[in-house]
Amino acid sequence: MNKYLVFALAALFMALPCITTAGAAPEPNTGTGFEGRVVCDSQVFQGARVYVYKSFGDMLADRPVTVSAPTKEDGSWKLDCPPGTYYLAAKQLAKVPASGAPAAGDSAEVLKYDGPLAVGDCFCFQGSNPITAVPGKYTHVGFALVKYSASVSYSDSSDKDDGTLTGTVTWSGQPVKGAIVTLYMDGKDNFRGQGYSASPPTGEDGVFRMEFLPDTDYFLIARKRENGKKAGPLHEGDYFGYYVANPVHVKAGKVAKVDFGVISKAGEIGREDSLFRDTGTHITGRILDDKGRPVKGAYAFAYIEKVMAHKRPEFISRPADKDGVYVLNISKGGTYYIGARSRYGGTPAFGEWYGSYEGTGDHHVNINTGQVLKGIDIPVEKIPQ
Amino acid sequence: MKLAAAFVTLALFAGQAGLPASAAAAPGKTAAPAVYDKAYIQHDETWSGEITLIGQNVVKRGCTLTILPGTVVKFPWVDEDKNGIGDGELTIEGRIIAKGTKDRPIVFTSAQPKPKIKDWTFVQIAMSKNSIVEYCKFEYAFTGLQVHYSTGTIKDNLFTNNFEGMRFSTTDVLISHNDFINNNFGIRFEALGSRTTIRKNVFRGNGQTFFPVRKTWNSVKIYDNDILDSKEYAVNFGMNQKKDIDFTNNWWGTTDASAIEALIYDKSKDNTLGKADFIPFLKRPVKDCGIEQGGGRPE
Repeated sequence: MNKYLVFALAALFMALPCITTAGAAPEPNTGTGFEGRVVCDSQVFQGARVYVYKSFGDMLADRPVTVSAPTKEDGSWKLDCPPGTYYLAAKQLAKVPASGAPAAGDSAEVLKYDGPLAVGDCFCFQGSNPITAVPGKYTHVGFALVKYSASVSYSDSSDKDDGTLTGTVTWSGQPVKGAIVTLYMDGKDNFRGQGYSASPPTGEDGVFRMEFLPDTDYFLIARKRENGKKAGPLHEGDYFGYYVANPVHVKAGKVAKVDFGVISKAGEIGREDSLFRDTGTHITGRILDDKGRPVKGAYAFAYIEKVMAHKRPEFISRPADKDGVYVLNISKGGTYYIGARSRYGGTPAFGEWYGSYEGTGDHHVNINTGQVLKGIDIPVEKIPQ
Repeated sequence: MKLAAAFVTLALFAGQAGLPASAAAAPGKTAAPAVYDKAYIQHDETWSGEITLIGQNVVKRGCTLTILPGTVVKFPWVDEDKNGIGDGELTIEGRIIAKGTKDRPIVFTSAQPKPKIKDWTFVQIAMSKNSIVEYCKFEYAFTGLQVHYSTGTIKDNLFTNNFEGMRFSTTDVLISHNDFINNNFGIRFEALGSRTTIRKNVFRGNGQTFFPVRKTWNSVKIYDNDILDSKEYAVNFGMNQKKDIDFTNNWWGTTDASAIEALIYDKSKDNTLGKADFIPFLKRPVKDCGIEQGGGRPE
């Protein structure tokens, strides 16, 4: 027997206990994992599965570590998963693909439920990815499916050197006005930040158009913030969309056209936005003015670089509550530089609350994974003018 | 007072670096020790003589650092993050009063025997009210002086042989009667509504004299300056500087408008950028421009 085949079979055999648990999707009982509900057009959706991947690359390759049982009549689902950080997606595949032979360490049982989407299938990439499975807890994750209605179509363009991308952003079949489509070259930043390029906001017809694009693959993300801002975390009532057939190949000399159904309003995606998700690693304290009074509504930020201004933070809190209390959920232990200000995005402006943690000269704290660091108060002042 | 926690150490007794970055300084308004190593200064202090600053040193919010005439602040070469820029830094989150005189300027410089640009990071004023920097010399820094979210006066200083002479954002400061000589960039800014005024300064021999990166408009006043001998551009708009900026009433070293325009990189060369309005321009050098002779010029 080929020694590589022996190795592959051995690896597969060793992985079987895990595979059996995951693939057969018995009633979850370890106390750690994910749970939630799948909807489509605001209706609970029965028969979809939730797929858990160790990386975004694994998601693109349809290589989950575990898959839920089909969602129940009420759209609910629940699965066990070891503590860690994962990428989650929900799919309803009309035809279960015939997967090839599993590679070493793969789960045949799991793989048989996954595969590429076909037109007519439904899909949802969780906008909060990556999501952490916290020990001793089933983290809530919601999904709103979008139907893969049509593949990308191409027509000739007068610009032979560059590509053009156009499409219509819709929600429940209706055009979405004011949505911004952002192109990312890859998923390494989890589709946060400015990306490669962004469209102007869509008009009444929901149409966007981006020209002079290099011939390559792009991941399309659509967002609409009800507050009209171009950056910052999504809030209840905002829209988010990960294009169902990402990545899209934009070709030189062609106009690529997509139908871009946004997944749903953010509030329906999940109760816990990724920036605020419970990671089990917290930095918390109060944001206080120079008289020690709480500054309600200010954000706390954690940066991984010493220079905090002019850069995007790694983590952001929800607005501080009436007592000035904030909670920063951190994905992993390390050294973080802590600051606070009134607004998210852009450079601080005159009159804005702004300040840094002063327990150390360079404003840093050290935190271990799983630790809760309390009493990290942040004094703020209004930028003088 | 817990002396064991003191982080500032006389060079005579210390002879070592790497003291705790966040250790507390001894309180009191005393003559300053000579060596600060990643110090967090949490009380008012007065510096004189020769001061050595290693790594990032911070003056806490609410505290005032006073630097007396003739003080020399040196930054030894340390580059822990291996970014090619010396780590030496003085950040003032409280207030700084650095007032040199004609004969006894305050000097911020490299401690290297053969100093070069970027030997140290910067003096930075952040979230400060009414700081004063006068008759100081900044040389061999990444940025001689950065001012962010602050008010104050920057007057009669010499910025020379720095990567950037000055940088500012969201400030309300007066930058007047300074000399910016032979820096790669004279002043870099992202004004964001700053009401900073730049006037009566001499700019000579800088690579790019003014570098508005983005989000700058006419809240910044730039007039009555001598802008001379820029090696590349006198004004270079950053790729996101979309608004026009008023550069009228400055002396550009020539009365030839086309020669001035050639020194400006703006909408005239990239249609996506804002425009640097430089007409009308002055026909002769500005009187009493640069470091005021009444006070003295740092040598």
